[in-house]
Amino acid sequence: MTLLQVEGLKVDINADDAPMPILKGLDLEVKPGEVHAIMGPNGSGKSTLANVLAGRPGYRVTQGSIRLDGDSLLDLAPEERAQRGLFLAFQYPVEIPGVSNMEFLKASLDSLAKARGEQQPAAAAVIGEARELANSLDLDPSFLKRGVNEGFSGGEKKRNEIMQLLLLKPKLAVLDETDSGLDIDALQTVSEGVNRFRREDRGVVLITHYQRLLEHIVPDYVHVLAEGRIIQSGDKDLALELEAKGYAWLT
Amino acid sequence: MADLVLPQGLSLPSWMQAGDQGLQGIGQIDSVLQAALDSPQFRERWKYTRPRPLLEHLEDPQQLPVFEGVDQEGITLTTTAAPSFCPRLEPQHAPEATAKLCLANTLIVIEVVKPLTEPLRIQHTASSQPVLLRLHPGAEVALEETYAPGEFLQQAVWIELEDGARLSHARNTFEAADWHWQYLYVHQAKHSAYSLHNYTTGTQLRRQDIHLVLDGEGCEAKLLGAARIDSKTTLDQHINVEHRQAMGNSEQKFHHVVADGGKSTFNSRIHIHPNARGSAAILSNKNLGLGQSATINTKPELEIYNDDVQCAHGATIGRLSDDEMFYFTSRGIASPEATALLSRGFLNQCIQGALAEAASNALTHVGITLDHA
Repeated sequence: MTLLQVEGLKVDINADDAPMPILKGLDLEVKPGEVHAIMGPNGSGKSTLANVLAGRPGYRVTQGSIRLDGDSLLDLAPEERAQRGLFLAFQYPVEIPGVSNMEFLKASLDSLAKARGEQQPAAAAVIGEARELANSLDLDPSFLKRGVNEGFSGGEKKRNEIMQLLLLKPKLAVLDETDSGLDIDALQTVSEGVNRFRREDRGVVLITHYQRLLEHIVPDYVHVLAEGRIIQSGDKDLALELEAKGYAWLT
Repeated sequence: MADLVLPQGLSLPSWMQAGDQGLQGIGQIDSVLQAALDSPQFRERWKYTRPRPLLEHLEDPQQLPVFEGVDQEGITLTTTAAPSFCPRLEPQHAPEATAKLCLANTLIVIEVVKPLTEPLRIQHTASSQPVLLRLHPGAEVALEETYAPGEFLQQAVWIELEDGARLSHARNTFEAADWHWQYLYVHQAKHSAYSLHNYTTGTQLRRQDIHLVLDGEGCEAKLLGAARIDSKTTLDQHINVEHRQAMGNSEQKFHHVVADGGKSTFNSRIHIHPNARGSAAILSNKNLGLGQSATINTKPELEIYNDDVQCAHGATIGRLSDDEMFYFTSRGIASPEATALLSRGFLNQCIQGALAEAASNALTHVGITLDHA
């Protein structure tokens, strides 16, 4: 059984009122339990892939398919994709003053439960679990009362993304450069969080520039994305090779 | 605008001529006020709302509001036709408000002579008799005002803050009215501090006039406001903050959500007088337009006659950010809930103070029917 199946995906964005192709026929298959790292030079389409998977407006899929657990995601709104178990950890999480992290998390959990016909969790239980997770990620639990990402450092924002990942428990996590802007300690903490998320029924797509993340989160597969296509796939050793040689020998 | 006329037979009561601040020697009050009524400044103030209905209703019957906190030591409340003091009056700025005082048979006079522990609460049950509140030097109190629904409603409050007095003022205006006028005048002496937490919804027509005068050295004034103007309601706010003396600080921050046929007018002016060296004044008005139609007029104004000041003003009109919407929807929150949550967050940035919880509930209630267009 495949968790995520991307086939022949072609995606345009609008640049100067003309369509500009970004993804040019991308294939990717993630089975439950697997971690796939996607590496590639700047401008290769890595973040586009993450955003298109999550349904961000502004991208046009011209060809191909995206399936999660066999169901097509292409016609689904971002919230419906989340309700089916997809989670995007943002490269640049937004700051939203006036809505507390706690309100946001509760609204999210309630929406997911409602869509799945489950009972909405009790507020006290959510607070308890969020506090515990915050502690484990070195986030001051008082942040729950503060506005969403308000005044957070880059590292705190990324840790908050991982906190949400662990609280919302999706089937598939797409991490868009979660390691960027992290110091060594934060990288370790965030990696531990992602490793805790790993389970035989869950999948991870890890988008990164740097091999060092993959020392902490060991992937099952490494893919090289260049000019809108996956041009090379291999195991974790491919990342080491890329680190040593750069991308030029492939492109 | 010769079509605007005041009620006949206006005269200046003797209490309004007494004291340092009285209008002694001003001449025939009806002709003074009529001239102010005919001035370009008046027309500018009343550009988006017809003032005629207000002028026709100035003599409406007026009620005594319900008070709480007036039994404490250090506060007195009297209802009288002849108050013992006259607040600073600005007939040229607000002829309609001055006329209302001239016409009043009964006024409510509240004097606070020392710091109070309990808040003073005024619940307006209808159109209220004019309220004159004076805080003596060093006095402190929290003032909370709430309102009842009605047809044609008017409440006018004059506040005098003497040296070093501190007033923390909160008012929640959420009840429906056909035509609602709230006039507020605050005159500050040196080192006094005033804060206003002003939360309101639109109604068929709600007009708020707020006039602050920092008339002593080192005055502090902070105005925070949030408003929801939806379902074809209207809110017209006019604010005037005058720095007349040196080293005053004023800050204004107003966030409005305007949706579904609502109409919002916000006009705030900072006026730095030649004497007001070392003043600092900040003004910000942000508007969020939601739904298919909303009318938003916003005009921040700066008028500066002293070089040694720091002033900033800004106004924005926008929709919810796509990035914020995507962040929330990507966590499974459907668009209508995400819109409600984000607009609530936008308003909550300006909601603080004694009546904050009620304000947040009233302005951001669930069931808000906003389509994210």
